[in-house]
Amino acid sequence: MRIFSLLLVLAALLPGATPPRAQLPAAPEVASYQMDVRLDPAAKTVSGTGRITYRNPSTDTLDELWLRLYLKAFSSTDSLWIEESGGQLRGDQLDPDNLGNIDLQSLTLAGSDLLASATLTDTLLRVPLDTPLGPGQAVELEATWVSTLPRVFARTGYGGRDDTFFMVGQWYPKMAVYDRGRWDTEPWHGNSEFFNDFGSYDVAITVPQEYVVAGAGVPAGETTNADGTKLVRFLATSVTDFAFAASPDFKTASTKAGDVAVDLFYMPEHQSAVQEYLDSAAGTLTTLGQWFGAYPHPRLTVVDVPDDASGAGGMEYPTFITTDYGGGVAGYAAYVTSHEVAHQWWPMQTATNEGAEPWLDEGLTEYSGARYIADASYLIGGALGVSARSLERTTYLALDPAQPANLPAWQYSGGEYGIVYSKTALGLWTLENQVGSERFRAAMRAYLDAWRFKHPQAADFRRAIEQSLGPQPWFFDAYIPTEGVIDYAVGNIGGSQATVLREGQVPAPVEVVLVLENGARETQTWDGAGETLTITASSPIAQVQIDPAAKLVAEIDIADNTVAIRPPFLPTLTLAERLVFWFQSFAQLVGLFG
Amino acid sequence: MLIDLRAVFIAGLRDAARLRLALPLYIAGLLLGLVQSWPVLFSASNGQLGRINAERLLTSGDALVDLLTNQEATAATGIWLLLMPLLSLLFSACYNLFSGGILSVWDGRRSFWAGGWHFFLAFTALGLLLVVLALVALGVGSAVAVALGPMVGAGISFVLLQLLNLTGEYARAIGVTQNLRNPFALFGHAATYITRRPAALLLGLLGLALHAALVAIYLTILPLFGASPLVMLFNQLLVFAWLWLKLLRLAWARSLVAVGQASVQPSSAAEPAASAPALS
Ligand SMILES: [Zn+2]
Repeated sequence: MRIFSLLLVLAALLPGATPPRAQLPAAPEVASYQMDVRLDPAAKTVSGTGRITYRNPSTDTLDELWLRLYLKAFSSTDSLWIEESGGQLRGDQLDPDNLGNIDLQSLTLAGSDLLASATLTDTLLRVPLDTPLGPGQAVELEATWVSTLPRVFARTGYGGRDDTFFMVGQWYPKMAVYDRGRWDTEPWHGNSEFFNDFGSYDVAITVPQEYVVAGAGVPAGETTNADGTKLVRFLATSVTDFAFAASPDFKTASTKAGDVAVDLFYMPEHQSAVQEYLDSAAGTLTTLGQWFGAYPHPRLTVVDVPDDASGAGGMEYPTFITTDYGGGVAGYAAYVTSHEVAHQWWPMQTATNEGAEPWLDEGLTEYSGARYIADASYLIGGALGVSARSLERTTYLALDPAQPANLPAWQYSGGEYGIVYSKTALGLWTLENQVGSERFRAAMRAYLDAWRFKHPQAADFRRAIEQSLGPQPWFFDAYIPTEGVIDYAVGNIGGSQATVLREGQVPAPVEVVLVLENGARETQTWDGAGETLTITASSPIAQVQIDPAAKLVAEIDIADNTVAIRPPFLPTLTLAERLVFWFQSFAQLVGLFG
Repeated sequence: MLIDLRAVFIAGLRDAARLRLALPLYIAGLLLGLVQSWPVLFSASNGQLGRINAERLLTSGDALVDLLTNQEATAATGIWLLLMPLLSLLFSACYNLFSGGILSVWDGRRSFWAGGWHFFLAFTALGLLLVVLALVALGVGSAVAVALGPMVGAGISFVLLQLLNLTGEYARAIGVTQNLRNPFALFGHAATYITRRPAALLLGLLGLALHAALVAIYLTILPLFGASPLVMLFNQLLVFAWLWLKLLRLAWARSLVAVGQASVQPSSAAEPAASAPALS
């Protein structure tokens, strides 16, 4: 018996062994939904009824509820969302002839109508309660609604062959979040995504029989009806939302990540990316599970979207992601898939407010996805493509790096919003390199353990990380919240003395290596304090190398990090030969034709 | 008609074994590469090679991207990439000159330089014709890619380009062996020739396999060098070996054509090349 348990422990310690899905406690049930809906492909509607069970998670008494009717944002061209985004997202333009809407036809509590006294502002519905809801008390709301989907735009809608593809997200009356003494009544902005409470979902969806439904959660039965439709049911617990996609063209493929089923629904024309989708989704689940803590669900659904519905691609919902074929460019599908899978940790387990603090959501996710892509040695663009590190750096430098990463989503213009992703990702990557991967991942695990199935904020993230790693002021005070950048340069070298300059405002610790004339190497770590560091070596200096191990992945200008009194002969000759060799290879490949 | 393929194979190897014949092309490539690369090394480093961390560049692809995000380096790379096709054209011209010389030496009727200049214009025109046809092949490939998927399209393009490559080699071999200089006639004869001789296709496939094997061996061994300067020798070995295999392909083509001509000449009526000298 003891040997048997020892073997189990050993098996768990084997490198590469997939950890079993942790037996995590379930999330608190704050907002749970039981829905019975019908997809009408001709009318482009999803209509039905739902029971929302809302339990007051706070110690306050609530005399009103707030619901979010997201599809209202697409119902007219003067919603706040359309105004801010100019009616376009990721290059897609909202089709003014095929707008979306959600028509909440009834909302009752114990049989009495709530709509008469409710007020709708933009996408937010304020519902006064006759009887206030005490701490821990629950209400059951009954709703009837019709959601009209737009042509695919901003993550949701229809498209594809003969408009038979449906991505159904942000589609039902959804409870807003009451947290830390207030309702989150920030309207839905162009850049922002979601802030949700945990709960369970029981969703029955009626579709024409020829449709294949990719739903979040786990399938829980299918029955066919005499009218040519079928009913498919999905169950999900410890989640914050529910989305599904449907198409008669979906093909399926599956794999496993440990004991987690990965089910892919793809368009036949994207067959060539199937393996990459499956490998990267399962690989990310397993790897991030080892780094940060297990994925807490039995299944992940991955949806590939048609080319003309790419606005529905690259989006995350709990236990459900959409990905992006990206024209079949090798490595790109993996890059997008990995990012979306990483969202299953941030914010699907740490339900942060994405609008208010997007860096805790998109930033942490971009870091995690890119780290997996780098760890698994994917190159984006195939064999001669770029690494995740280079792609991240190039994106960061192509934007204006001199921006804070922690503003609310609505304070960035559409194009600049990418800084939240890349600046945060590169900063966390730099921090990881500074403290070591193992320590950094332990800190991230501690953050997740402390805040799993809760609503952490930036201060909570900082506290958790610094409890593990000690104070990191360069990251939390100088890098993330300011326009500061990391940049060092070699000043001058004279005899056995050299100066190193901090040209960026962020005092990130940095290693400086002095290569001496006699061949010896002397290494120093500079904490970045002050603007100049003067180093005196034990003998004349031949070369100064700043950050030779390239730990500062967020440093903006790396080209001025090395200065030599005279170029080192052999490496320079080797580099020259490499350039000549590239030419020779190209010239012989092309020039010897025929 | 029966051809002693073994004899052709060995004759080609024996011809190609004269390594000296590969030297002019190797030196031309090396010099053109130096012409292209030195200005870049200087401008990328703002005139100071000491500012490039060559050691890191040699071991990390990321370091290259880091360098490229620096504006001066980006401009320099742009120039480098622009120069690449231009200087490759010059290399092509060298090939058109030297291939005539090499084939002539094997043929034995002309010296290297005399043969090279004799066929230079004809081979240059042939090269241009091949480039035009290659563009057509790529067009066909991309049309197929749209209809049947990128992999099928790429496959079609590859096969068409390889057939064109082989046709070009036989055109040169036929030109020298039969003393023809009309590029269209050369191409026509070669195309007819390889469709009628499975041996030509077989030797072509063998050459292709050897080139592929060479690259596979190179890529397998390359990581062992790390940042060692010995990698320079290894790179140049690959360049020379690639060039030598090209010469071997030409040598096989010439042996095959020469053997065929020798065995057919007595009853030459069926051989299209035999009635063609008037074209030269
Ligand atoms: Zn994201």
